[in-house]
Amino acid sequence: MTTAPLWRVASVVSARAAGSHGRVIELQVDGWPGNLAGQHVDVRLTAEDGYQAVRSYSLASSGPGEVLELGVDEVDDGEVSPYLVEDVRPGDQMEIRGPIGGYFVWTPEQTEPVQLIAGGSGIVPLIAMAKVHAATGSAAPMRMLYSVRSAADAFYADELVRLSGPHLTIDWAYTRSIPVGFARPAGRVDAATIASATVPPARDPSVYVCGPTGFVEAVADFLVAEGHSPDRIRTERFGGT
Amino acid sequence: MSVVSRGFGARRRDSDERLPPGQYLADDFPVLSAGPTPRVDTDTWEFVIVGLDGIRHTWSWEQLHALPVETITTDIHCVTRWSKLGTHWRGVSVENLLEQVGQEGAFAEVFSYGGYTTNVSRADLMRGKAWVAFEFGGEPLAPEHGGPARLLIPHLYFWKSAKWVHGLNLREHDAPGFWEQNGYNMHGDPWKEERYW
Amino acid sequence: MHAHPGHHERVDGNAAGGYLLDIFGRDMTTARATCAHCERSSEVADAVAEVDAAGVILLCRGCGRTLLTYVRGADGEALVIGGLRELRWTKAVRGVVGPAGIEPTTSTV
Repeated sequence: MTTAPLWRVASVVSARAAGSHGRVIELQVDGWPGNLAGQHVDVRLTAEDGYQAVRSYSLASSGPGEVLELGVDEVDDGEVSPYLVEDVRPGDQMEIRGPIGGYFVWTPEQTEPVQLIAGGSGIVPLIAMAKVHAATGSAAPMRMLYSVRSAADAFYADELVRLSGPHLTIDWAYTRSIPVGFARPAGRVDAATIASATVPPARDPSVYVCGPTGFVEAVADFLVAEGHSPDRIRTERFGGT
Repeated sequence: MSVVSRGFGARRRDSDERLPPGQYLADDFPVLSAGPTPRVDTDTWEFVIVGLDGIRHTWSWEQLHALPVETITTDIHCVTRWSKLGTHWRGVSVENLLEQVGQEGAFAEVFSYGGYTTNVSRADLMRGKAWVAFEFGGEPLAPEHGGPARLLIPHLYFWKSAKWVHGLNLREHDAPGFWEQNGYNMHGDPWKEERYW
Repeated sequence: MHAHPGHHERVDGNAAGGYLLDIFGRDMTTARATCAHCERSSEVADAVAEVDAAGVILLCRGCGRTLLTYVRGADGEALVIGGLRELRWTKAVRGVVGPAGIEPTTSTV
C-alpha cells in the first residue's frame, strides 16, 4: 500500500501581471521537496462551502527551496485561471501537489544541444529550463523560439533578454503584430521559421515544445519534416481553463 | 478540511448529479450528422426487424401507431459532451416490436434510411430502455433530428439513438456499426465514459 | 468551460500525471505504455489525453484506441484498461514523486 502523495499548503508571496492577460505568482510551500525544470504541479482551490477545483500549472522555478513560481494565462470563461489572474493576492492560500512529470524535463546533466519552442504560456516550463541552464553555467548549446501574438503578450520578456547571450539564443515569432523594425512579418511559426531559427537536425538536439495543442502539433510536424527524429522531440500540450 | 482559498468559487459551473462524467448542459439541441438528411414519406415508411431465421417482420406507420404509444421524459447525452435533461418524446417501446419476433439473437445491427448503422445488444433494447420515437417536445420529429422516426436509447450515448431508423437485423454476435468502425465504443455507456474504441 | 459547451481540447499524458499519481502512488508520465491494438510503445506523457474534473481518457497516439479510462464519481472510482497491453516503469526515475516523496536526481535512471 503506497502512501498518498501529499497536498501541501501554499501561501501566495507575490503576484505580478505578465503578458496581456496573465500573472506570475510566487508561492511559499513549506516542505517543498524541490523540482526539476519542466515539471508541473496540481493546484487545488477550495471554496468556503467545500467545493473544490484542481488544475495543473507548470513551474517557472526549479531546484531546492520553498518558493515556487507559476505562470498563469487567463482563459476566457475559465473557472480557475480568472481567479488566479484577477483575484489572488499575497497571503491567500491554496494547495499544491507535486512535482509531477519526469518526461518533459531538462537537467544540466544533459550535454547535447537543446532547442526550446514555446507558444504563448508554454514558455513557463521552458523558462525554468533556460534559467537552470544559465544558473549552472551549462555548456550545452541552447536555443529558444518563442511564439506570441504580440510583444505585449510575452511572459518573462525582460528575463529572456537577460538570459540571452553566448549560451542562449532567443528567437521571437509574432503571430498578430510585430514590433517596429522586426524583420519577420507577423504570422504563425512555419517550416521557414523552423529552418532558420532552430538548431538543425544534424546536431541532434533534444527538442522541447510546449503550448496549446494546435501549436505543439503543428510545430512537431514541421520539426519532423525538417528532419528531426520524433523520439528527439518532447511535447507538452496545454488545454484551456 | 482543506485550506480555503479566499474568494474562490464564484465562477463555478452549476454541477448537476444527473450529468454523467465529462458532460455539460447544452442550451440548444445541436444537430450532428455525417451526411445529408434523408426525406422519408410516412406513406412508404416501415419499421423492419429481420430475425436470425431471415424472416422480415414489418410495421407500417399506421401499424406502429396502433401499438401502445408512450410518453418518455428522459436525459440525453452526446459523446461530444453536451447533455440535455428532461427531454420529451413519444414513441413505441422496441420491446413491443421485438416480442413479436423470436427470442434468438443477442445483438442487433440498427440500420437507417440513408445508410447509417449502429450496433446494440438486445438487452439494451428491452425493459423500457428503447423506443421508436416520432415526437419530440410535443411536435412531430423534424427530419434534421431524425424524423419521421428515430431510435431512442437514452441510457447510451446519443449516436446509438439512430436517426431515420429503418429497422434491426438481429445477430448472434456484436459487430461495429458506422461510428463504431470510426473511433467510437461498441457499447457507449455515458456513466462509464465509454466514448471511444 | 469554453466558449462552446461540450468542446474539449485534447492534450497529452503529461496532464494525466496527477490522476495517475492518485492511482499508482507515483509519477507515471515516464512509464512506457504499449497499445494492445497496434503495439505502439511510448511514454504515457506522449498519449492523447482528455482530462477534466471527472477523470481522464488516454488514447494511443498511433491508432486512437482507448488505452485507459479513469472515472471518478460520487459513488467511487473506476479504471478500465482494456486497450493497454502493458505499462512498464523503472523503480526510480530522477525527479519523480514516489511514495516517500521526490526521488533524488542522483538515482539511477
